[in-house]
Amino acid sequence: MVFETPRVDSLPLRVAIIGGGGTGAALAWDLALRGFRVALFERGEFLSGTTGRHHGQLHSGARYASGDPEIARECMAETLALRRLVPDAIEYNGGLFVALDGEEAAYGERFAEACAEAGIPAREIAPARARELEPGLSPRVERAFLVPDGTFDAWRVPAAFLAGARALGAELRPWTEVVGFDASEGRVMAARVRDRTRASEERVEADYFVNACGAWGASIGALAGLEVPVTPAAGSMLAVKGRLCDMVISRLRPPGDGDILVPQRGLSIIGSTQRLVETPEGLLPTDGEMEFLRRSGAELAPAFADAEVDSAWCAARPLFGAALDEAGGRAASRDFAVLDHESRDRVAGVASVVGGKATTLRIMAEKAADLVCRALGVERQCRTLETAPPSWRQLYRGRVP
Amino acid sequence: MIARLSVARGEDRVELEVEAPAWATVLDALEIATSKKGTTEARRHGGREKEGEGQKGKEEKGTGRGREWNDVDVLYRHSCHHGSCGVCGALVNGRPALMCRTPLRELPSGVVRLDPLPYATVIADLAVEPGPLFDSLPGFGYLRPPAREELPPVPDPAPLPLAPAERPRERFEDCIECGLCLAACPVLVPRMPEGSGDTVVARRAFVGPAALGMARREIVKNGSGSDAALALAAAPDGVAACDRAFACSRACPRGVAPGRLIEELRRS
Repeated sequence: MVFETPRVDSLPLRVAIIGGGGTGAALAWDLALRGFRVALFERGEFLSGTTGRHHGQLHSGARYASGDPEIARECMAETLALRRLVPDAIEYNGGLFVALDGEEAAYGERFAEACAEAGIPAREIAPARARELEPGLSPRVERAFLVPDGTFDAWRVPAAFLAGARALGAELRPWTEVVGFDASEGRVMAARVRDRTRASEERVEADYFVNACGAWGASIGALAGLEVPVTPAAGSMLAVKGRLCDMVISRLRPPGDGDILVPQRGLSIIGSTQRLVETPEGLLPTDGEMEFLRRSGAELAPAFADAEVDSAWCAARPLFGAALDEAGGRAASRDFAVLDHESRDRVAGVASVVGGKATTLRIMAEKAADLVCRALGVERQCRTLETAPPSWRQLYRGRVP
Repeated sequence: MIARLSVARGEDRVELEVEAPAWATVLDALEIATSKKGTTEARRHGGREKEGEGQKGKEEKGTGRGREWNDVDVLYRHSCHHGSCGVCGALVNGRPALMCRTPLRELPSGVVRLDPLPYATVIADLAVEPGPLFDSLPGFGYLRPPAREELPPVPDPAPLPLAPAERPRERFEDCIECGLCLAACPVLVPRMPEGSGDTVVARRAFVGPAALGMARREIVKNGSGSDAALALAAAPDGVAACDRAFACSRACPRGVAPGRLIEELRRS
């Protein structure tokens, strides 16, 4: 498929995005398609924070159906959208929810009803059929449901959006860290950014600023005197060598730790754990987490127990909310919000995107861009549902520093 | 364990010393060393931080203050931390490797030497612009068969087929487009005597192992309908430019074996 640069009706308005993760990438693409002049600042390489470390489950929403039907609906819609927009970055093999004990089997009724209510086509199949489809599955399976989950490449999807934004003239600046904001009369006027390749600082003016820093959002907000309710939570993952399944295998129970097995190329990844942390920086799994993940993986697919460990790593989730429950934030919603700091904090010209998850990156960007339009009094519709971005390979083609 | 890293900074080097778990990778150690906490000792060389310090002491105007700078600000590319994105390539003790797939305990004890991949232009420290890699890659598809069915247009809420289990499975190609094969190739990056200061210039025009490996995969997947792949292989900078050193196959972190794929192209 050849990418044809979409025609854009340019606006004389500049929007600065802070953060080059999944949200910032999708937002740059969305705003550029609406005609804004976009500048994006990322302190490291693009996608080096949370997004790239995602295990890659493309959520149908089944995981959230009984707890949060709205998120479940959103996931289903976004799965359909992403599969159409970036098909080359998605393995669409479906998912299985499996019960390994009586309690989980009993949860099946509620699960099936919730999926139906959220518009997610879940279908029960016999345990024997499930093991026929996925021979690596535990023989203990008591019930199984097929759902439209998938695996996606958590680097290539957002990289494609960044490539699209650049093709439309967006100024994308990795290695550039925002170190402060200048405000005047209750409005953020400029950001001060530091180019880490030269250790030089400059002042960047824009008509609007969006904090898309995910788990780093609170500290970036603090630079503008804003309280941004994001709590970083460390999510550890463990990959073993060998592809133990083609579908995403999940436990038939409410979302918790160690309950998703995701195939990724020649690896099988068990995800994940969750613990609240003070800083999203430099996170590593603990020994206890790795042992727990190893056991959890083996419960779903027995071969996981003896497979050679490939890698263990940790990602900083951006949980929406400052005060969270004691259970490590699992009860915290995986929903997202776009915070208008003009109405919340009487600071105009800036918004923060908080919470969210990789599957919903496009819709997060759409809502954020809608707010930018309202704040700047511009009527421009979202175009990301009908415009496919170029290949992720385009992001670095023809680039000489 | 204490990890000691020596990171290239242009002609100079930055030495880092950091406490890391016994199973940690080179990338883990680098990340701990450059995040806000964790650096147990860091000695600085080169000029960048000195300029940075000037900024540090400056009275800040505006509404906030930047995060505290690390003692050492080292630039390196990374993303997935599990060998899937292909971003964190570097020369580890002189050999092309993904830092996230190089456990410290598998390296000889002592200082770990880190240098940027030689096929690409250095931005700073270990960070490179991987443009030459992506310029070399053709626009072939990325999934193994089956070909994807057409999907419904946006306003149609019809769900995707529920049970793709009934059709053949989709799987990503193994190549993660990391560029290690280019960095290892003696045609693209001739070995220079240490400290000779010679600029690395390809010995001849060569599209490289990554692109040719993809061309072979494309022919395997799509058979006779692969004219573009065949043309790529038959061009003067195609298979004919390969020296059969197989350094690409040894460097590949995902077992793609581009050298073997190039041999298959030669025979096809």
